[in-house]
Amino acid sequence: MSESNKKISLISSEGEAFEVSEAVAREFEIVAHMLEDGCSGSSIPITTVDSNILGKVIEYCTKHVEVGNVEGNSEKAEKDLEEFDKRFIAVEMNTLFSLILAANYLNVKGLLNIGCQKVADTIKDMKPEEVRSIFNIENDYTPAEEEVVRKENEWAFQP
Amino acid sequence: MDSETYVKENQRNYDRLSNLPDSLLCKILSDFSTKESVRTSVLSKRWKNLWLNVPSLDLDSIKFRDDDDVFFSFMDRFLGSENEQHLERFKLIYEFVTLMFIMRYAMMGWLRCLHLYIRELTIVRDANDSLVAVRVRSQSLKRFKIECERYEIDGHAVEIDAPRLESMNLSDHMSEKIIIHSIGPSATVEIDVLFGVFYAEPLGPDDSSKITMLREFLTGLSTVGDITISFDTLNIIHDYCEMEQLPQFSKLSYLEACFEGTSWEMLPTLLESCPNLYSIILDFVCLPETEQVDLSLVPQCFQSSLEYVELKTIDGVDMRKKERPPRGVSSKMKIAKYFLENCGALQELTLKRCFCNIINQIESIPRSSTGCEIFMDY
Repeated sequence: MSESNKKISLISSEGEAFEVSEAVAREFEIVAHMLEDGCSGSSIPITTVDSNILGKVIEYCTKHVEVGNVEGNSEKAEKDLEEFDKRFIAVEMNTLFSLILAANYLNVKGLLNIGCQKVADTIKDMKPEEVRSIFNIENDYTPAEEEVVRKENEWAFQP
Repeated sequence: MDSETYVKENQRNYDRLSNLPDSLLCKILSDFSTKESVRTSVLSKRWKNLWLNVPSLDLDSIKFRDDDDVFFSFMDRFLGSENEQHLERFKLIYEFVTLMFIMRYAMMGWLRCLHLYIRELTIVRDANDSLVAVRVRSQSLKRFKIECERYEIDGHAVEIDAPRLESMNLSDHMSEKIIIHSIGPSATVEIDVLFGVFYAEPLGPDDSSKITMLREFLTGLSTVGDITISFDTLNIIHDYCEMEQLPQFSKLSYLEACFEGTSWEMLPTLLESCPNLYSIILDFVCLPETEQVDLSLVPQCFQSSLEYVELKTIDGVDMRKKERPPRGVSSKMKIAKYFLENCGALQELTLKRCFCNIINQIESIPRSSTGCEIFMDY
C-alpha cells in the first residue's frame, strides 16, 4: 500500500536498468511530472543520460531523499548534506558538464545549482586567457575584433 | 586508436562550457558581479552578448570612475530593449553623482519598468548620497534590504509599500521616518532602526510625532509571521510601551529579540501582544540584577501556542580581577522561572552556556508543562 515502497526502473541510454524507490525517482522533476500525468509504467527510459552519469544522479538524489526523511537534528544533517554535496561535485570537468546537462534535462534543481556554482567558482577571478585554456575555448575573435569588445566595456576590464 | 578512444580523446579537447545552452551559461554568470560577467565577453564570439541576458545586476558605480556617460550608456544597454529578461536581483552601490542620474532615469521611465519585474532589492546608503527619501513601491518585490552607512541624522525617510514582500531587513539607524504602508502577509522581518532617537535618550510623552510614527510603524508590522528585533529598537519600543499599548501581532509565530539592561521588564507586555507565538529566542545583553521586575502577567500564548524558548546572555568578565562576577544570576533565574512555571504549552527550553552555573537550580523549578524538557546548548 505504502507509495514510498514502490520501485521504479530508470533505463540509461545504454539500456541498463536502475531500480530506485519512487521517492528517489520523484527527485527527477521530469519523472515526477510523468508520474503525475498518469504515466504509470514501472520503467522509464532516460535516453539522453548514460549509465555512469545516471548512477551518479541517482546517488545524489538518494542521499538527499534519505536526509530529507530523517527528523530532528536538522543542523547536523544540513551540514552533512553540504559536505556530501561538496565531495559529490568535486569531479573532473567532463563529468561535471555531463552532470549539469543531466540535472538540467531531468530537472534536478539542487544538483543543477551545485554544478553551475562549481563552474562559476572555477571561472571566478581568472583571466580570460586562463578560462580559455582550462575549458578549451577557441578564441575566434581576430585581435582587432577582441580589441573592439574590450573597448566597448572598457570599465569592466580595469582592475 | 580505436574509434571509442578516439571519440573520448576528442571529447577531452572539446569546449563543453561554451556548448551549454544560453540559459545555463546565464545561470552560471548570474553568480558573478556584473563586472565579472561583462568580462567574459572577450572569451569568444559565443560569449559576446551573453552577459546581457543575465537575470541579475550587481554593480558598484565606483567602477565607472565617475564617468556617468559610460555608466548610463551601460545601464541603457543592460536594462534597455536589448535585454528582455526579468531581473531577479538588483544590487547597485552608488555614490552621490550617480544617484542624481538614477533619479533622472527614474523620471525617464526605466525605473518604472524595473518596478514590474524586480524581486529582490538591496540599497546600501552611502555617507555621501543625496537621497532624501527611499520610497519602495512595488507589486512584485519579494525581498528588500536597506543598510545605512551614514553618520548623521538628517530627516531622511524610508517608505515601504510592497504587498508581496516576503522578507524585509531594515538596518538603518539614521532615517527618522520609517513608514510601512504595506508588506506581504506573514513576512519575515529583521528590524534594527532608531527613528532618529539618539542613543541612550529615552522617548518621552513630548515626542508626540515620534509616538504617532511608532504606532503606525508597529501597526504596519502587525501582520508579519517572523520577526527579529535589535536591542536598540527594543529600547525604543520599551519606552513606547510605557505610554501606549502595543498592537496585536496575531500572525507572529517566531520572535527573536535582544534586550539590553533592564529593558527586558517589558517581556510580559511584549509577549501578551503576540497571542500565537510558537517559538522565541531571547538574548539579554548586560543583564543586571533586578528585583523590581513585575512578572505577574501571564500572556495568552503561554497556554496555547508557545512551545520553544531559547534563552541566551553573555556574562561580562571583570578584567581587573580576571574573574567573572556572577552577574544577573537572580535575573536569569527569574526569567527561567517565568517560562517554566507559567508556560503550559512549553515543549523545550534551551539555555545557552551562560546559564550553566545555575542549571541545577533551573532543573528543580516546577514545570507547568509536563512534557517540557530543558536543554543546555554549549
